[in-house]
This record gives sequence, structure tokens and C-alpha cells, in this order.
Amino acid sequence: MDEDIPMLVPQEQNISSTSMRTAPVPVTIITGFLGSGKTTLIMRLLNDNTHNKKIAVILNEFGSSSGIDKSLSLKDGKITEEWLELANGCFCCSIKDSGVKAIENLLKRNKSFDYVLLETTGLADPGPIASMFWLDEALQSELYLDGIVTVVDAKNISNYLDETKVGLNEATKQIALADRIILNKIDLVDQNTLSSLKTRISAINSVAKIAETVQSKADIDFIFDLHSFDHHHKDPFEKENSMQLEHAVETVKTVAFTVNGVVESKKLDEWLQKLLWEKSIDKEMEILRFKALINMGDHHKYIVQSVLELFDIQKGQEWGSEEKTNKLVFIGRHLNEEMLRKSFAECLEDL
Amino acid sequence: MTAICQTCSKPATLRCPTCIKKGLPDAHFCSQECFKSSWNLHKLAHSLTPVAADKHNPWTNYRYTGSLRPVYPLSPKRAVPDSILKPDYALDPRGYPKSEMSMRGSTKIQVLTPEEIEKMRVVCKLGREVLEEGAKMIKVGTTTDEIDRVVHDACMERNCYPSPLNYYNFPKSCCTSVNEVICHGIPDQYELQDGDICNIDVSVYHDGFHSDLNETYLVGSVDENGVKLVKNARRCLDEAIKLVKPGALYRDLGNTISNIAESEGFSVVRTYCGHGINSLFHAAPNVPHYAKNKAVGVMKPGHCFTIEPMISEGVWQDEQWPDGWTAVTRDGKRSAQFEETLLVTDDGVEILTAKF
Repeated sequence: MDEDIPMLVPQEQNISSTSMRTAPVPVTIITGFLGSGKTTLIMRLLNDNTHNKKIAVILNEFGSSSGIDKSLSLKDGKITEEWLELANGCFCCSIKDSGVKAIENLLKRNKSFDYVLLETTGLADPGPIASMFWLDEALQSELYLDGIVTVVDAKNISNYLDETKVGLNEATKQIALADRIILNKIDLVDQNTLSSLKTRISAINSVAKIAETVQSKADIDFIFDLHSFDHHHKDPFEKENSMQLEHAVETVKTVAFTVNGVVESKKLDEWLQKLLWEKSIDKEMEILRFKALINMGDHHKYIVQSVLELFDIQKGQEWGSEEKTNKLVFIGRHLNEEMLRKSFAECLEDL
Repeated sequence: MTAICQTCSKPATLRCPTCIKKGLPDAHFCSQECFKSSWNLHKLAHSLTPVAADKHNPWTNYRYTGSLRPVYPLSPKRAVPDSILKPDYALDPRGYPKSEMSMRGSTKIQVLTPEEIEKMRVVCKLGREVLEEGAKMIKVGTTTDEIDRVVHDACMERNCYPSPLNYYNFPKSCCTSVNEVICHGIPDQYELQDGDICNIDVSVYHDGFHSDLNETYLVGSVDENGVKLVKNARRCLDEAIKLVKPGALYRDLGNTISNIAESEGFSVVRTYCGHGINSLFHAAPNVPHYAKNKAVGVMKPGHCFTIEPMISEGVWQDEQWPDGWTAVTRDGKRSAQFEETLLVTDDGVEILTAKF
């Protein structure tokens, strides 16, 4: 095998940076099939002059063996290309995957970027990518995971969702893990198709807000600064009517319920370990995403987030005038609502 | 001074990254196109070792964080006979561990069978023997390259492949990390000085399994705080090992390690973690040494993994030398480390790499 030709590097390479960036940069993962309008969305965001953000777009071929990332960045109104060499993985098992490292290095070198859009390949599974970017706060990284936005093509998404394969198809995973869904190319389908499509998407993921668009024209606020994985997230249940819809066709669906009572923190933690790590509550259940708002009996809300096996319990804002309850949302396959309710009830303090 | 392009002789501001990494003289090109057209000839320079070149610091423009400098040239890559079983990356041009890469991102921790555990016991014992051979070399005036030679030869004598060699193209058979080097130091012509602390990290591959261990040694007489740092790092590891038993959480180890380090005013390096180890050099679980981490997993009998806390005198932040490996403290203060390979047993832990 022959050595690949590496990309040249500039003469004055600023290898070590002295100044620290004051705040970490948000990363939004953008998924969607080829032809969904993902690239159109990104080009729109790059050319939008209302947000005042300097965006770094990373086109990432995760899982490919290529050691080089291609990044597009907007400079002086025109798109220039910049190549970054991925660090060579790590010797003693670095906490950050090389993909994360490459982007951190980009941000270190170029202090002016203040937003990262990570455009995945069409068939990417956003779960492992999100896990990689959802870093421990202790690492004080230059970046943090802000959210997952999935662009779907109204014309073709049904076919993609119907695709059968071993495990879940990619379209289903992309919708299930999304914080926001852009239902694009709605001009290509009639009203009935559109409304049944919305029902179908909501059956899989009833918490993600949906924007219906033509040419990926979604609001900036719909995409940026969602704080989906940190305690700045106001309320994971901001979407009205985020209760589940009965839809027998989908293998992946949302189960949501509310439980009164005070949760014991240690029991909750153990329950999450059983649910997400050991999968011992119900062997069949496969949970892709879990969000909860928890009442531990004090003044604060507690927010639980999970992606695949990774989970975190964070202290959120203080309770307002609303009723102190526990709201839980599960997105996954073979969800057994009865078992979920029963097992969660054991986390409650005895009265 | 303007450099000129090696292909077309026009002024050039771009440099070959491979030459930089290897500590070779800068090769300038004006464009990727010119670089490409000279590639077949230029790449030959990458495999040449400067003959009897004078000892030098290959990156004179790099702002080092402390007083340690690399001393190049590196000695030629050491040979491993065909008779020794090699991991998949040993002969790969980029040193890619394909079997490991295919498992990347998986949080599933392998439970070893009794037969596999027996093989781990064997390879871990061999790893310990190799480290002890290397440790005998610790004294003022020894070069880290000599330590590497001894480690390499000790591997060959025991029918072991030195796991670091060519792992993602790592050039040597062990890591030697002196003073402000946190880990992954490349053995070179540096001579150990009186008062240095030096870590030797040995990993070996035998009969299809890897072992991994390291210790930090005192060279000559080390100052009081240096001794305190090294002792603290050892205690961090020992106390963390005491927590290992079925049902314990991987994420909790970091809390204990952080408490011990911080109690004496030291910090815990966060970028590098312990890891699962078996037929793969690095596998699930990921074992952070810092507090408040989200590491996935509950310990079960048959899990094999390392704990390898890196404890720093000053700040926990690290940076890397231009060689792409050597991790140093950002403030240039010293860092110490100890590591063992562990097996979770039915009622606790077996330190597979324990000193006998």
C-alpha cells in the first residue's frame, strides 16, 4: 500500500495557542438523506446575514478511513475551502475522538468561528456522532453539542422509512434522534400526504418540533442555540402536545408520561443504569433517546438527557408556578410502557 | 528569508507536514499541485534516516512549555522477526489498528472467557518482566533510546511484540515520559539528568492479547515536591484499584483519583484515559481519571481494563509537541503516572501486571 499525499501546511503554523476562547462554541449536527435539502440549508445559513455568526461547516465522513476533513468556511462573503488534518487518533485512548479533536484544533487556530455545523453523510447514524460530541463538562472543550437537526424530504421520506434492513433503517434513526426536524420540499406533495407524513414523523419522535419548508427555509432560531444537551435547556417538553400518538406501523415510537411524586436521586441513577446500560428492565427495549424533567423535592428542576447509553442528570432552573411533576419521554424500539412506568415508580420516595 | 518551492523554485510558504512530524528539514512547496508532482520523489526523503546526524532539537521555532527538548535524530526503527506474532497495525503503512477501529464508539465491554483470562495472565506477567528490565536502565546519563532498546530486546526474548511499535505509526517500542511529559514521550537521544522523573510505559502483545503497564521512576535525587508528586500518583492508582469489584461503576474511579490528587494540591490530566484491553490494545470501557464524568458501564467479572492516572504538579491542561505524540503539561510543570492492567474477578480485582 502507498502512503497518501498529505495536505501541505502553512509556514507559520501557530501550534500552541496562548489565549483562551472565553466561551465554548456550539456544534449542531445536521443529518438528512442525499437530496433532502441538507446542503441547501447549510448554504442558506452561511449566506444569511441576520445571524452575525461566523460558521465553520465540517463535512464529516465519519467512519471513513480518510484522515482529512474538508471544511468550508465563509470568508469575505465567498466560500473558501480549508483542509484540516485529523490528529492521528490516540495512543493511550484519548477521551475525544479524532473528529472532535480536529474541530477543536480548527477552533483553536481560528478564534473567529463561533458556530460549528457538522454535516454528516446521508446514511449517517447520528447516535454515535452525538455521543462523541457530548463531552464531559470537566474537559472544558472548545466546543459543546447544541443539538441534532434532521432534514427530511417530503417526497421520499416514506420510502426511506419503509426500507427494511437488519436493525433500524437510517431514516428512522435520524428522525428518532432529532431535536428539530425540517420537513422539506413540501411543495412536492399534496395536503393529505403532508398531514399523514407529519403524523408518521410525530409517531416516531413526538418531542422534536417540525418546520415545514420549501428550499429548507427554516428560521435561524429553529436551528441554532437549542442547548439540547445542557442545563440551559429550558424545558425538553416545549413542544405542545408532546404526548405519544398511537401509530402501529412504526417500530420506533415515542412513549411519554407524567408521574407525580418526589424522585430519589440515587434510585433514579440506578434506574437509568438498568434502563440504558444493563438493559435489564426489558431485554427487548432499545432506547435511542430519553429526556426527563424531574422533581427531587427541592426548588430546582432536574433535567435528564440520554443518547444511546450516555446519560446525564443536570440541575436546571428553579420551578416556577407550574406543578412540580416528573415528565418523561422515551424514543426507541419495542418500548414497553407498562414496564417503564412500573420501574420508574420505584424511584419515588416512599410516602 | 523566502523559501522556494522544491518543484518550481518559485517562492513558497507551504511545508510538507510529514517532514515536520518526522523532524526532517523543512520541505517547501508553493502549492498542493507542485507538491503532488514531486510526491513520488519527495516521499523517499521520509524513509531516509540522516546518517550520523548531529544531535539536535528538530522544532526550534516551537514554543516549548518547559525546559525539556527532544533530542533527534531518532534511532532507526527496530526490527521484529517474522516468528513473532504481530497485531494488525504492525505492518500497516499508517499503523491503523483496523480491528480496533471497527469497534470504535462501541460501549460494549467484553467479558473474557477463562481461556482468554489465562492468556491475559501470561501476557501481563511478560509485560511486567519487560518493564522491570527497562527500569534497570534508569540512571543519570542513560538515553531514553537505550531504555527503548532494552525494552525492545526484552520483548523479543519473551516472544512478545512491543504493542506501541507502529501503532498509528508510533516510531518506538515503548513510551518514555520525562518531567513535564505527561505520556507518549518518544524515546530519543535525551540523557537522563540527576533530579528527573521518568515514566516508562510498556505494552506487549503475546498469543493474541495485549498487556499495558507503566511506572514513574526517580533519577538520582529528586526534590521533595517531585517525590511527593510521584508518590501521590501511585496512591491515586492504588486507591482506585481498591474500588474495583463487580457492580462498581467505571465513572466513579475518577472521583477517588481527583480527591487524592487535589488533597495535595495536584491536578488530574483529563485528555487521556484508562481503557479496556484484551485482544485489542484499546477497547471499551473508557476510564476517565477525573471527577464528574459520564463514562458508561458497570464492572463485571471477566472485564479487563487499565487505570493509569496522570497527575500534574500544576495545571491539568496538556498540549502536544509537533511530533504528534508527546503530551506535555501546558505550564511545563512535572507530571507523574502509574498504570496496571486489571481483571475484575467474582469478588474483587486481580492486578494482572502486579510486581512479583
